[in-house]
Amino acid sequence: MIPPAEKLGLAVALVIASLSAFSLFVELIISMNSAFGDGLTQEELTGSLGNRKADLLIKMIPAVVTTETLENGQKPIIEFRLFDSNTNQSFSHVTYYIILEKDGKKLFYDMFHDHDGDLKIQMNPNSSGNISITGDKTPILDLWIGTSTKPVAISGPIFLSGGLYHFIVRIETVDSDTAILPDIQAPIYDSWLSIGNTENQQINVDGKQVPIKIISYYDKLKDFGFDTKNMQLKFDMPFNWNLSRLENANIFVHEEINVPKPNAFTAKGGYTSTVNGVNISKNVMLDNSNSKADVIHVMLPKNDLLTLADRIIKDGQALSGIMSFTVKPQEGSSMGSVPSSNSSVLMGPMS
Amino acid sequence: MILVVAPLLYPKIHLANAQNSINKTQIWLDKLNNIKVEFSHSPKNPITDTPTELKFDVLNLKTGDQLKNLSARVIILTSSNGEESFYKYTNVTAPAGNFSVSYIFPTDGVYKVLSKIESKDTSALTLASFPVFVSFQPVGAMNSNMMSQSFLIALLTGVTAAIVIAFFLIVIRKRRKEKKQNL
Repeated sequence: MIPPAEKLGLAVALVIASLSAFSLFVELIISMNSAFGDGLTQEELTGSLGNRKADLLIKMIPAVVTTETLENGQKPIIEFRLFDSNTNQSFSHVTYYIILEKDGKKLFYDMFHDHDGDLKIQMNPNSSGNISITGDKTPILDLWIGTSTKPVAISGPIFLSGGLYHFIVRIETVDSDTAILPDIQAPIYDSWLSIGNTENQQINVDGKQVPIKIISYYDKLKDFGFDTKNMQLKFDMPFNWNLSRLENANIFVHEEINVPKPNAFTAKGGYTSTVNGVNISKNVMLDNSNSKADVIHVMLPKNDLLTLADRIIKDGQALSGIMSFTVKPQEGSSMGSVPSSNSSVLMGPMS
Repeated sequence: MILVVAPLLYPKIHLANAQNSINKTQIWLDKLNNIKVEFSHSPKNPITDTPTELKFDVLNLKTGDQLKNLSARVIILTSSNGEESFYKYTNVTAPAGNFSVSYIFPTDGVYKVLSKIESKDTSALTLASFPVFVSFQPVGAMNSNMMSQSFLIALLTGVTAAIVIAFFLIVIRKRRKEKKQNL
């Protein structure tokens, strides 16, 4: 029999622990959606034009774009907005020279204009032969115009595969449609946006085939495997461990694993994870708000990636250019949990 | 007299210098695309109502080789009374890396020649902008080419001095004549 005072103390401790866990999760989710990272859905890049600050926002709308959502007909919009971050005012008459690359290969290049500086380009991925652009054009320089109400559309074999897409953006004009900036004045921005790569796989749990879905928001996954004896998922992802690159980039690696439940894999109510053999369980978040599936998030913010990279470089694994994940069930009884009206979150044990 | 004449001439000398600086071959660099655009025109000093050939050479910035298989658009832009007007040449092709268009400037002043050039071989697009000074009087154009500022000043000084000397000689002669007549 627990005395009422101790009961109250235990309850308070549980609430505090739960709130701490929940706030950390929320913080990570917020940072994932708005911290403008290499491998995320938006970036805010700093630059200048003379004595004016000229920051470029590149944003994918909606935020979640995966190979699966695109196959289902999603047509995401990419917004380019050049603005003075001191005043938050957009520049006017902005011409954007945009080059899009994937894996070092140029997919398209063209010039786009928006009189209000807020360019919107709609992406219509399809497997037709060539990339084509449709929309209105400026009368003098023949530049594509993409506004909020009438975005310019790019159709063709683009965003067909998941992974990182490299946008190189040079500002050609500001303030006037025909005031072309010379090379030394024209700011150039480099941005990487990510298309989530959806991998549908089957794992054998106690003799039963369980369909699982992994979405990689950083780069395409490969070498998926499942060790039935140890109940361990394994998958790899190309990754450049160069420390100076990581230091200079806004970066966030996010892998999402959807596992239907109940089964022996989900029974323990928690998960541990490693990257290249290093325990990263503190970066594992479990969303078990859906009674029919566990959604396991493996989220690596920049600071953790730097620490990992330092260790992996010292271990001599960096040259492989691979980030190798494992995920396996872990007893969750000792972890903090936050029950709420419609969701609960479990955090992995701190390592 | 020199003091009176020189300030009146100065703006014209200044204008001729500005004209000199923009009427020789101009270069536009595009380091992102590794492109150099050289722009020149013939005649070197364009005048109104006479055809001017606007010439573009598009080169690889590193090797200096001409880029092949180009398509371009050339726009001649001017603004007078606060209103911008333009003339455009579309679908200009340049298989060998150079191209030109001929244009008759209707009025004098400074024009802006814009070009949008696509290099299909290197999958690159570049915009370039060049000012062109167009004069109404061909004489002004001659001065800027043939005479340097110092030569012009020396010439003006010489002419003025000659006039002054001639003036004094005439006055002296007149006075001598008057003296002789009085005697």
